[in-house]
Amino acid sequence: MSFEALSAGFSLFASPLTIGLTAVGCFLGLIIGVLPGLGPLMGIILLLPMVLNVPPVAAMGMLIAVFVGGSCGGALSAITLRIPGTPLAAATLLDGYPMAQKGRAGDAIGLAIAASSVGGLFGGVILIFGAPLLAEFALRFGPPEYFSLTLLGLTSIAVVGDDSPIKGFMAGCLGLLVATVGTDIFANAQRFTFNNYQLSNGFHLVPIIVGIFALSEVVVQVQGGNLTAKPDVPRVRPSLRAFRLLLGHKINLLRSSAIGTFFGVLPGAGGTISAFAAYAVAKANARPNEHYGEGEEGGIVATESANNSAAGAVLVPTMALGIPGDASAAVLMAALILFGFFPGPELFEQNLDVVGGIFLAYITANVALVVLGFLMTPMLLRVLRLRKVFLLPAILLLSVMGTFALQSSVFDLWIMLGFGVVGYTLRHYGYPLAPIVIGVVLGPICEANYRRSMLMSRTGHMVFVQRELSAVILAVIVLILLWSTIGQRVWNRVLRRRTSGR
Amino acid sequence: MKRNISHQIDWIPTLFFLAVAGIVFYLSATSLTTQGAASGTAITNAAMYPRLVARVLVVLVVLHVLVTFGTLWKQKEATVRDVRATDEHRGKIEKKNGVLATAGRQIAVSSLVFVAYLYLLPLLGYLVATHLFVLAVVLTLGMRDVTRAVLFAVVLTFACSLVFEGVFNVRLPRGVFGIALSF
Repeated sequence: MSFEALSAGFSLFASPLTIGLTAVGCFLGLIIGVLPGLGPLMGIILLLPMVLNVPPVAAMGMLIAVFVGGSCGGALSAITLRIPGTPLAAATLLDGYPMAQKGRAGDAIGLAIAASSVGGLFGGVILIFGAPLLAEFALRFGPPEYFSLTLLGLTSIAVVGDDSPIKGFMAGCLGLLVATVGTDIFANAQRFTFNNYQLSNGFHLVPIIVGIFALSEVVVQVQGGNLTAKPDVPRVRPSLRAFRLLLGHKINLLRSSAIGTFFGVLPGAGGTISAFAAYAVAKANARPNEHYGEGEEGGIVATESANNSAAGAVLVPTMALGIPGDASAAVLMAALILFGFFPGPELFEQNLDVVGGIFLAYITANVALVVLGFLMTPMLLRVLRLRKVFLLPAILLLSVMGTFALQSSVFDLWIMLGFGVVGYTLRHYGYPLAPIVIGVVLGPICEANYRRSMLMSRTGHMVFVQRELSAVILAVIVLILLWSTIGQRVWNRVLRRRTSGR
Repeated sequence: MKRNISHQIDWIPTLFFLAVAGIVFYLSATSLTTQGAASGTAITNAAMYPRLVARVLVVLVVLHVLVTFGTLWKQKEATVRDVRATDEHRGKIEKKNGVLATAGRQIAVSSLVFVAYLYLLPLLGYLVATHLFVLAVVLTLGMRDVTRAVLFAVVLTFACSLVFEGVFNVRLPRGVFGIALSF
């Protein structure tokens, strides 16, 4: 099915608009990734309203390219300023910055870009061959299985983020309830609209996402201070010999890409965890003459290949099952839904050309990453000098105009502001925001499959346990919950005993 | 040892979540019942699923409060030891409080400006309202050079207009003055 998808999608992909927007998306992703505090998620959110009037494959190509570019862009500020542009690059600074301090910033940046691209292509191969296989397996799923899957998606995101899984679940429940506002499609009743006709179709996804993430991030950035400070950024050009250097780390590159893919496929894990895991494994397997933490090339290769391969892998459960692996994947999934394409086996059966187009856009984005990354690094480093006093109002204005552009509705702007207040308040008290968005995105799927399951069931809620696949998924959820509560405490106690024993 | 603020009871979010659940139960009992959509089968009962999620949410809130109380109780003994640590870091805390006070002012003023912008946008139109909004926010966030601030507001406003109206064909608000760039 993979080759069928690619050949079906070629006609949709091979247009100047799609290829052009993919390249533009990669470029914008690099810029957004470079700026500390933004990240690929913010880039996708800000651009989402603008691409809704563009053909679906072109739009998804641009958003995915932002994801790919943003996953790499953070390495530049990590290497030059010791400030990761995104959490994904937090592990890159461990060896990237020391390498730059030794006068090898060009090599470090070149290695980061090259490793990101190769890792991303590895993730792309897994995506192209893995997603159709998983979608085919999911054909056996009925409403109880899909309901259990949505619970798995919510559970993974809720327990992985912060130290309090309970807070994650509370945020997820909020998202599920927000998704119930509007007209109930089964009973044709108005739910929680307060007799406001503008809520008849519920909340639009974009004001919620923009409000919760973008507005709250702006407030947090203002709280951080230093708004008028201009960072002192050195002038650096990446070295093409980075490719030759990369060849000297073939095993590390393949291993780290595989680790990134593994964590990327797991809902809730994501690029940051994969980068640190790959770094830890690379360090454990270091040769005697390699000193990780002091500017070792292998450190950069490990982290950047892992976090970019995770970007491709995270799309596997997102497209095949409709279970987003992280917040960025949730927004990409939301974009697909807004275009009228519902992720899952049906997408592969009925819209194989769209799937193939997206695969090709992802591969192209990783190729564009190398070209644009090497050519644009001096310009990207200049962007780092942009002061927050100018950047933050620009983000605010883009958020407002992007949201307004959806339906030319000022009401959407007030919704965005309301969710911005909610998002900042919850964030201030340590609640994760990603589960809210995933709850909103998965909510309609969760409810529809729950009600269908109840309709077909003669044993009430026992139907979720009586069906084998659903029972297996629920068992996985229980294992995740046990690990995140009891298991981690036991493991931390064992680690503490070992450390104090030495 | 610092006290972890996330382990103190967060009343505002707790009450917020309870309020959301309360709204679900209240409207299920009133509005949905009036519409005849609060009982029956899984198809006709539009309140079934929201009520279930709201119940789960209430249970989670109760669990959260219990866990927080338990953690605070354990930390009671640590409170006495905390005092000396606070004294030692007083200088840093005062400086941090100064920065936070400035940021708090900036956030409060910017928020008011933002609310005013949303209110005035349909009245004054995009071009007028946005120039004022961007200028006000840039000055609030600490830009002292007024000329640069004005220039930035003009460039950003026109750039956004070019992108949204010129490229994406979005009709931005004209307001009572009916001013807009023509593309």
